[in-house]
Amino acid sequence: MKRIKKLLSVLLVLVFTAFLFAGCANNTKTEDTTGATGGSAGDATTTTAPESGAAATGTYNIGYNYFGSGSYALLSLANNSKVVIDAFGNKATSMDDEFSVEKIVQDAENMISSGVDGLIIWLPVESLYLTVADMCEKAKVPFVLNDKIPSDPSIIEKLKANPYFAGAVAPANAVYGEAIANYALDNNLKTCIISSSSVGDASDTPRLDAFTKAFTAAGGKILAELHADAADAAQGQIEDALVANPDPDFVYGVGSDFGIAAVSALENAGNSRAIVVTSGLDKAALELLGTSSLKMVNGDFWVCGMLSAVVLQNYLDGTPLKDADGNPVWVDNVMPFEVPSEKYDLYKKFFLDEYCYSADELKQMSGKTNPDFNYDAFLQVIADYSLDNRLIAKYKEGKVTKEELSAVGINVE
Amino acid sequence: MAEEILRIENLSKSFGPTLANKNINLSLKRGSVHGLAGENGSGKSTLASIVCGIQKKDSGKIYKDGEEYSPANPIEAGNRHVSMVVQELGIVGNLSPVVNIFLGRTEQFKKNGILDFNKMEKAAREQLDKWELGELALDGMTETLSIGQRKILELIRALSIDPDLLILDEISQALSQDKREILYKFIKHFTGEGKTILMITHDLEEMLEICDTISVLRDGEIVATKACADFTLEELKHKMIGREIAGDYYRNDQEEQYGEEVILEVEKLGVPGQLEDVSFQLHKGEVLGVCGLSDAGIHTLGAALFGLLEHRTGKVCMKATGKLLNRPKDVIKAGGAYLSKDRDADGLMLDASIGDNIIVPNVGDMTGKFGFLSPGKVKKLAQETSEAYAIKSTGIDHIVKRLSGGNKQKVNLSRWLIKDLKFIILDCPTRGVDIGVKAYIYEVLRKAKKAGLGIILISDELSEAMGMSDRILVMRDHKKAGILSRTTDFTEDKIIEVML
Amino acid sequence: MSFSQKNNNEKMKRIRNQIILFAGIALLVVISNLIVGGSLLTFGNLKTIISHAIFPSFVTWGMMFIFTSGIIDLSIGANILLSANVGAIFAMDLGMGYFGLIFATILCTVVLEQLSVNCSVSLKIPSWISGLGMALVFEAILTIYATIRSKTEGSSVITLKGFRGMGTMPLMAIVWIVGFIIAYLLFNRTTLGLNIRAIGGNEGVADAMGIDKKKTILLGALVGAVFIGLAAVIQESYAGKLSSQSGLGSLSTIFKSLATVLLAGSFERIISMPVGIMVGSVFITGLFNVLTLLGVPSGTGQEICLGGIVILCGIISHWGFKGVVK
Repeated sequence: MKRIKKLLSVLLVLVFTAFLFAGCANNTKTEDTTGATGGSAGDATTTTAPESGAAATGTYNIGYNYFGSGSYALLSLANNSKVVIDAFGNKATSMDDEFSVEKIVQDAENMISSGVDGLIIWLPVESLYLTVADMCEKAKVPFVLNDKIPSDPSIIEKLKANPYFAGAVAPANAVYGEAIANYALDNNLKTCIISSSSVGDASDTPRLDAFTKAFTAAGGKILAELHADAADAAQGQIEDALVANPDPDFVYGVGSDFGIAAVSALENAGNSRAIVVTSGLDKAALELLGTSSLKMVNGDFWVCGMLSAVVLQNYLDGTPLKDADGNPVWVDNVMPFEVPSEKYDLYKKFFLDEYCYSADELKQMSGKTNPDFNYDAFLQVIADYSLDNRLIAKYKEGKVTKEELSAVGINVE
Repeated sequence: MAEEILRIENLSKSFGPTLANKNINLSLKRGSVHGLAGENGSGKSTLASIVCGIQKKDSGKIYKDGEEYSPANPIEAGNRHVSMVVQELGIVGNLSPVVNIFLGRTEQFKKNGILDFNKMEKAAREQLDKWELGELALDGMTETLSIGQRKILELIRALSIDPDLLILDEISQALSQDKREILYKFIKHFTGEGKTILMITHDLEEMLEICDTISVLRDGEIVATKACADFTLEELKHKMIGREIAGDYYRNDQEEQYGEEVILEVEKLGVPGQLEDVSFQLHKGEVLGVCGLSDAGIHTLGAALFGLLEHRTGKVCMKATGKLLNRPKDVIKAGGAYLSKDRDADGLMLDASIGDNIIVPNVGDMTGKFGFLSPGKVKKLAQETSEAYAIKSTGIDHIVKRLSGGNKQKVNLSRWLIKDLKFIILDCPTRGVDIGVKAYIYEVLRKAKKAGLGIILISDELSEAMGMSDRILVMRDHKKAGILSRTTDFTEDKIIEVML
Repeated sequence: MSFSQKNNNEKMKRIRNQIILFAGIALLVVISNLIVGGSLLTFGNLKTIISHAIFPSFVTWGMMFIFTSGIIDLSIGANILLSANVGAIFAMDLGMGYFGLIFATILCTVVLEQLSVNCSVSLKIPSWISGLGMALVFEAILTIYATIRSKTEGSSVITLKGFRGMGTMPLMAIVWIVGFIIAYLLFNRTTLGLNIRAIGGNEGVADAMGIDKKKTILLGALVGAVFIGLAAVIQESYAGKLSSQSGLGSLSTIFKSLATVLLAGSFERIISMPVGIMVGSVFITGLFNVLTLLGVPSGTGQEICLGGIVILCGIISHWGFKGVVK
């Protein structure tokens, strides 16, 4: 029996070793197929698409990660990337990080091993950007940063110097918080309770910090700052906080789940005066807008998922989006917008039930299919991005009538 | 009514390649006590467990009251009025004693789907009173009862199905002297009503005194069945073992024999509510027996000496160095050791191997150059110990729970005795072991005594304490009632007088 | 000391410990109330605390029927999330209202729990392993649903519109009290309850006493699942929606219940389990409430306090107890 055990152990080691070699072989294969990629980030003319088997047929295998599946916001971000991948007829490979930052790196590595031609990375930790960048450089896999970007100038500099770095597209995160603070101050709301996800959450923290800074600087007072691991626990926390602070002017739900929890908590507490404001344009939150204590919702950073995929597509097509100095595109100011209750139906129709850019529009966002599309054109797309402009675009496509737009205060003349 | 209550014909049972029972033929008479004698592993418990439905026979037939009987489980056996008190403790500690008694049969106390505990307690009390088994707390958690009380509880549970055949497997060894008297009285009462007892015990004197007929099992076969009166103690031993037991069973000298040097000094040792002001000295090479009635505190004394009990008062120290022994760690460091009464619960790691159990107290000596355990040293020690103490097994990797009671106790004892000990506290070291192992353990202790080891021998068996000790510390009501000398005081009457 | 004296002493000791426990809690409540300036013992706040305690109470009563027989099923959190969403689909998408919500949720909980427990019992693998495995499976199913729904419906899970009655006072409290009475009777005063405890206490003895182990464990899981299903209904009704989780994130759903099990287990020698669960869940939710009133930061400081309190309770309840605390 002992001998059999020993034999099995040896066999197991051999099998693992074989797998390891197999993994190396896989990397080598990627290297071979992408070997023709040359040039540096600083030299736009020499940067070419990887000549993988997929590239030869004009399509790519594009990998993207999403932090977790439970959150509508995170899923929407991923779905927005997917719609671009589909629009260009590419193949998609995705990985669920299961809310584990450590797993993001593993997932990126696994996607590289599986032979993707490019990566759309959602990475919320400053210290890991260069790790992933090195990994991609070694495997010669182009990558783009989606929604989250580093703030350390030295990291940014190193990223920009990486020949496989296609660019980055992120929202003006601080603006979300600032916009909420400004809304509160404009409406003379001076005291608040904040409900947010767990301490240090990558999405909520920058919003929270920006809100706190802007709100308290203008004399606002934060009565309680609550953190819950799961949104389901938030309602109880808010109810407890309402006992300690029975008369806040408003509750800020940093994500829409927390905003919805705040609405229920206020209903249970019987506090009719306080209002709820939140960030995150999901359907459940928007449906409460105007029909409950929820009075303001801002958001839509999800479009970053789309735009970052566009950046990668251009890189892979051999038309990388670079500024005059040859630096990859770096956008950190995709602006949020508010959805007033009168525009909710149109928003739902064109942002939730379908995607805000049509497949045809997306196809025009590649230098390969549209020679006029370049770095400046891309920045113009971002500058033009707003609820009203998108609705006007839908009008031009014939999907909405002039009267419908005029009914919500948009004049198309 | 026929005189025969149970007849077993050509019954065989095997566990893999091991034949536990081979062609057993046995007849039990109504109103009698039938003894089953045999070494550990001779097949007594297997036979008993087949009769009461815990195990199934491979072949052969059993007839109860003239009808074929083949219980699939204890409930079916109970329906035919057969029940058993098993050797190992069989209670559920987190349930109350009254629930333990009727476990599996609580439906009878249901009223509108809800159990009536008053009715249940009343039924239990009726059994206690009917058989005069003394008093027993029926509420609270069963885990708070002493081992003896738990055995009585198991007996009541067995009686609660109104058996006419009751199997008692090693029940008396868990009982103190006074509880044994209650048991013997019960046996008379029970058989007096025309009911039968099949009794398994390693205490051969007890067997000869109580039983009407004795069957001896050896290697799974019945080698003799005779009326008790036709057996002598020596013949019974011989039949069981198949050879004469080498050496003397107990000491045959009548003198206290130990060194002048005091090893251990105990002063006013106490544990609130459990032990009061016990003082004594243990000498080099002395066997100090500890006896008392149930609840006298003899087992508490062992645990307290080893430093297991909280809120201990008084002083336990090494005489030579003056070092206080407050915790088990201190005792072990000073060259002491302790074997508890319930070896399965408190002594051995049942799911671990013989080797692992042996090295646990010796692990400090098993390290290699860099402080890690040295597999070579570990294996050597385990192997040598296993061989030196004749532990019957397939090897040092044999899982302890699969060993017989005697071999388990050999593992338990040997791992301490291989250390360079100054004294050892043994609480009922021969509980649940057969005559052969018992003799072996006494022999080992005799050698250890000769080598200068101080031994505190806590025992529920007066004969054992008298047979092995130089002095006996008698306990009464949690206090020391006196210390008797082998030279002058060792008569049963005298000791019992002090106990009472 | 005579036997009856000893027996009486034991009983008195138990009663004394019960008095000390409840007096200790009462004292703690009074002191806390003074510290927070009287806002703890207001009607509104007590209502809030009770309403928060109801979900963990029901989950823990359910766990009691499952864990006591030795089945440590860690898929309960995922089961709750999946079942609540199934209930919501029946209530909202299929238009079956309260009936759909309650019936479908409980039925789903029962089926999933039977799957999980059967996986352990029939395949003879440790329950915590099968539980974690099933948790991953349940989470994955809900995640697939959430992913599809995100693409098509504009939110990852259904938010209940209406059908919130089971999550509002006083109905919640009435259900809670009825739940307690049923849990108490089933656990302490029925054959099933005793058999479950016997299997957990000593499997060998339970076998020898003719208790059908598999049947009892599965029956216990069935009863436990009904309580857990009710918990899911209450929480879905109370919060409006239960989000999907992945990577065993569902364990956080039952965090308070696990803490309650620990507390109730610590005091099992003083008060019976169902009562301990009721007291424990109110104690834990009350603790979070007081800490919030005191301004202790949630997510960090509050969790540290809870950890400390759980350990403290364990120490106090086993004061002077010889043996291993299990």
